[in-house]
Amino acid sequence: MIGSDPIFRALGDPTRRAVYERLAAGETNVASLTAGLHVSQPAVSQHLATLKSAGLVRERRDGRRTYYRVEPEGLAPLVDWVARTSAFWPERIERLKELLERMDP
Amino acid sequence: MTAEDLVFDAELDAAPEKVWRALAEPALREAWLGDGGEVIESHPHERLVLRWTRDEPPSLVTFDVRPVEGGGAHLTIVHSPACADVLTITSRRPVAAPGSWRMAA
Repeated sequence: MIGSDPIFRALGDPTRRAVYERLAAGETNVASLTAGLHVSQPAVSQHLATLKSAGLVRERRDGRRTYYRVEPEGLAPLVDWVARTSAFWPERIERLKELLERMDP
Repeated sequence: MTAEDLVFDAELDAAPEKVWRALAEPALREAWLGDGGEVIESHPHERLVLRWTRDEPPSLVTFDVRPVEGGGAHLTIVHSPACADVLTITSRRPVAAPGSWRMAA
């Protein structure tokens, strides 16, 4: 298994990715997140919950307000996937070259 | 192509037809690549697209073969993680996906 993590599912949704991108620009709340997106506030809250359970987003309560920001460590599985995949293909390409030498023309 | 796609290029000292066989014939493909790829798109001698089930959720691997002057072949491998636009992957528009996001690492 090269990459197995909820972050791949969490970031697979375009709206959720848009929410994540906005949070990457800085901490904010649900209302201001919703303002720029063509989805309802409950939908944004749902997306935030998914991002949170995937470890991509962290929340902070300040009185009655809740603020959200990205969890920097959250992307680590994706970074791992990139590292593993970057090692995988050059090795397989070498195997392909060896196979091509053995194959009939 | 999205920002998180990984791209690998290889110059192969073999005719494109031969490279294609190594990609498209299941026994030959398995010999260098192992299992875990389901063919979802095939344009003989040019492009093979695999649903890559070694990743969970499955990702997408696209092989493009083109002839090189002098008789060899150029192989381009694009590995798109599942957090690339999933709709793009399942509906198989060309490799390019609308929109992209950068890793905020």
